[in-house]
Order: sequence, then structure tokens, then C-alpha cells
Amino acid sequence: MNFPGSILMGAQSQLLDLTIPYRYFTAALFFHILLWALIAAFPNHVAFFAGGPGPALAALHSLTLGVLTMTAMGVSFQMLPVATGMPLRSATATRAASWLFIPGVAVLVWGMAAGDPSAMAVGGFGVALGLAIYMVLVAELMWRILQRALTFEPLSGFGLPALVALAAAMALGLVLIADGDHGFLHDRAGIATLHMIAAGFGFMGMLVLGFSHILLPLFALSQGVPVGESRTVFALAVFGLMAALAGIFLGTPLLMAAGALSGLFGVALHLRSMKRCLATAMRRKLGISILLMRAGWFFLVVSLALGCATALGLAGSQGFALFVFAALFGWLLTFLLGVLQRILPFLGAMNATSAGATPPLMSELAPEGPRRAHALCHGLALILVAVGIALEAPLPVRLGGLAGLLSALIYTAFALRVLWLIRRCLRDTGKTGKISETTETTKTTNKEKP
Amino acid sequence: MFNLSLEILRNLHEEHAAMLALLERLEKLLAAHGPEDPPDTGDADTAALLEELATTLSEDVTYHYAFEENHLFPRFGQAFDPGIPEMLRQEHELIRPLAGRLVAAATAAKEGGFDATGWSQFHAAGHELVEREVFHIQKEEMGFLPGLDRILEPSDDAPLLTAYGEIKSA
Repeated sequence: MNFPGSILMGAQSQLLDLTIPYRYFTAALFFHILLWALIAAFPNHVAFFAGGPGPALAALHSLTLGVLTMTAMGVSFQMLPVATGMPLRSATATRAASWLFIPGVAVLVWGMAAGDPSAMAVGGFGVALGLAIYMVLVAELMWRILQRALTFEPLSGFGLPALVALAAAMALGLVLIADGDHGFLHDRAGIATLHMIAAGFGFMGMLVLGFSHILLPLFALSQGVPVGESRTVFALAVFGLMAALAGIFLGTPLLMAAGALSGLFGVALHLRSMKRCLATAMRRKLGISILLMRAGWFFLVVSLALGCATALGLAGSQGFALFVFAALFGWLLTFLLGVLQRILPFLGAMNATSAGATPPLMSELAPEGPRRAHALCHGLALILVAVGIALEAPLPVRLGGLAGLLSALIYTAFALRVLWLIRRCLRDTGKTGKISETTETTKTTNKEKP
Repeated sequence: MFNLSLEILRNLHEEHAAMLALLERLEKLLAAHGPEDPPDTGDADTAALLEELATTLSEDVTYHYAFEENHLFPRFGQAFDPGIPEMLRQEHELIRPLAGRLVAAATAAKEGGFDATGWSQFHAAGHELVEREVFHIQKEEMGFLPGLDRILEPSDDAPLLTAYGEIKSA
């Protein structure tokens, strides 16, 4: 099967051992709390951040590695096999990646907060090894999807460049860690910017675009995105990314601005597709999660506009910091939280169903009240921290950090409740939720039409 | 939701769309009236909703489900994964008694309105039915019907339409 909804149908046979995706999700919950706690505890470092080790860099990487990449790994390992009907080559390797990556992020973040180069080197090495396993596993699966696809396939189409960008971001990150010890880089700030663009827009951005093609039509019960539109968005996004990276590398502001503009056109087209998905939806009541996703899209546009203005020197002294905040916190974190609000209970119900248990109700797994409270606190945190960064004022940053910390605690309670209910459900049926490891069980048929 | 090539699949899709619209109206009624606040069944909208629930829901869990179970699940299971129709069948089994309770309560309420206990039970069953049926339709619309569209041939259309017609007129 190869259509958006096969993610629902294939889940029976392709779901991994529940502990594999949920170890990544649980670790992400911890780093989500940590990042807001660091912002609340060290507002001066955030308001006046100008690069280099310290609590602000630790908070940033708690977000990018601890929350965003961690969740991307869990979602990729769980969703790609059920979305495509193709298993990963090795479930053991997905576990090995977690053994290296999760402690690696913890040590790296500690090293960044404490300014300890040895801890950063050890942590960075663990992160790189974990990510390398992830990249090989997912790239191999995406390559198989691409070979089978008869036309442009959004998951692998956007996913493979995302993995290339991740490899680049990882290599640049290791160079930056090594430079901390030896100081051999002539343009450390430029390399750090390349690292941020490759990781935020290249890896996470492309992955989000690819998964949106599957998840939005699925949530809303609507028509998918036409292949022609996906291909155009892909071309604009890849060109924008390459132009921005080349512009930063060559120190050419016009090329950077051209990259941001190309990204803006691509995003405009993508949002038009998503708007049409929602307008033609059979299911219109999508709750608070769609609000978070819409807010994420808003910040995506804001971040690209800020990126363009920063490249042209029109955004003032705090323009770059605001651009980074809008992209990573406003767009990626907000969008991800919106998606997870829907997908965690959904995956939980699928796991319960596949273990033969009566699936719990979505409203039981994810009550609306805590989700609203989380969204409200998260929105408040974004506004306050953005104001604090813009005005270089620690007080709004601290207040924003506290609002964010509250939102993270509410979110953690919500997610742990989902986990607990699913575990109880599985325990009651005497099952583990472990369905398949490496065996491809989805059959094909000679009658299957192209 | 895909552009389905066979008329039988388009018919099932239209029935899903109609059911989702009905469930949305039920959801609105349940949201407007808590478990301890029975609505006035003399109200035209409420009366129309109860009437439609009694007929459409009953037909859906009888004919629509039976057709899928007898004519489509076996073919889907053969072509793809037998676990999938089994999962959908289990969901039918969960929804049927809920729908039965709701249809009986709606039919009774059309005549004499809701008392406190009757409404409270209707509210709980309605809420559960909406969630389970929406999740079920989501799976069928996004996975089951597009999957069938791939494996069924144009020549299958007429016999399946006839079979569905026979189930409905039985």
C-alpha cells in the first residue's frame, strides 16, 4: 500500500515494539522541560545571547536535539514503516541509536551549559553515532520507497534531502565543538549559522514538509496534495536552502535573501495546499492541535521574512536572534507540539487495537482541557521570550521561560497519561504491544493497479 | 480520500460523508446539553436529528457493515493484510451495540422526550459512538477504500452494486 491512509491500515502489522518510539518521546518530554527551565533560570544569557557555550546554547540544543530531532527519530521509526508498508532493516539498530543518542544529547547539553569542552566532545560523539545509525536506517528505507514510487513521493522526496542536510549539520556541529578546544575556525559565526540553517530548515524543515503531506489529509479526512504542487514546493524549498547556504558560505547577502525569498514562495504554495486540505475536509473539528499547527505556519512565514531582512541588514541588532527564535521555537516547536497532541493518542489507540485490546477513546487519552492550557501557556511563552529578545530585556524572558516551563509540565502530564493508559490497556490484555520487528507482512497482489 | 474509480466505492464514500455530517450534528447537541441537561425534543432541529439517527444510523450498522464484512473485507484481506479487515470487523462489533442503544433511545425520545436518566445514558453512548465511528470512518476513508480502489477491477463494479442493493432490500 502506498497512499496517505495506509498509515492507518498498515499499522496493524508494521507497528514497532512500543518501547522504541516511546523512549524517544519520553526523552523529548524531559528535554522540553529542561529547555524552558534553562530559559527561566538564565534569562540574561538568552536576552543577550551572542553565541558560545552557556545556558542559552544548552537550551537551544535541548530544543533542537533533545526535542525536535529526538521526536523526529521516534516518529520516523514508528510512522515510516506503517505509512509505506515497508519495515526498517533492523529494530535492534533503532534501539542502538537510542542508546547512543539519548545519553549523548544529555552529556552534550550538560557540556554546553557548563562550558566543558570534554563533555561536549563526548556528548557530540554519542549524538553523531546515534544520528549516523538513524540516517542509514531511514535513508535505506526511503531509497526503497523511491525505487517503488512511480511518481514524486513526498515522504522520500523531502526526506532524503533532509537526511543530507542532517549529515551536513552534524559534521558542522562536530567542527564547532572541536573549534571550541582549538580555535582554528576563521569564521566561527558563519559556520554556526550554516549549522543552524542546515539543521533547522534543511533537516527539520524538509522533514516537516514531507510529513505534512501525509498527516494533514489524514487528520482532516481530505484530498491529498497534487503531485505537481508537491514537486514545485520541493524545488522552491531545495533551491532556497541551497541559495541561503551558499550565500552564508560566500558572504553574499543578496544570495541569502534570494534563498529566504524562494523559501517564502515555496511556503506560500505549501500553505495554499494545506488550506485546501482543511477546506475540503470531511472532518472539520480538529481541536486545539490545528490552532498550534496554524500558529507554527505563521511563525514559519515570520522567520523567513526575518531571515530575508536580516540578510539585507534591515532587521536591527537582534534580528538574527529573533529569526532563530521564530524558526526553532515559533515554527518547529509549535508545529511539532500541535502534531503530537493528535498523534500520541492516535498511535496509542493503534497500539492498543493491534494488541487486541478495546481501544480507549481519544477523549479519554487526550482530554481537551489540559491541551488548551498547554497551548495557552506555550503561546504566552513565545510572545514573552520574543519581546525579551527584541528588547534585550531579561524580565520578559524569565516570565516567558516560566510560562514555557508550565506549558512543558502540562504537556508532560498529558503525554505520560497517554502512555500510562496505553500500558494499562495492554497489561489488561496480557500483550506487550510488540507487533513486528523486521518482517514485512504486507502482501502485494498481481491485481494491484499502478 | 482519493478519487475513487468505482461507483460502489463512491457510494460507500458518500455514506461515510453523510454519517460524518450526522455525527457532527449529534456532537453539537451533546456539547450544547450536558449529561444532566436534557434537550427539548419538541425543538425542530433536535426532532429532525433524532429521526435521522433512528433511521440512518440503524441502516448504516446493518446494511453498510454487512456489505463490507461479506463482500469487501475478504478481498481486502487476501490482497493486503488479513489483520486489517479483522481490526475493522472488531470495530463494527464495538459500534453495533452502541448504535443499537442510541437508536432505541432516539426512537423512544421522539415520542415522549428524554427523562434525566435516559438523556444521561444517551449522552454517554452518543459521545462514545461519535468517537469510535469517526475513528473507524477515518481508517476506511484513508486506507480501506483507496486500497480497494487498487485491487478491484471495473468489471467488479456491477456485481458489487447488485449485491449491496440486495442487502439493502432484504
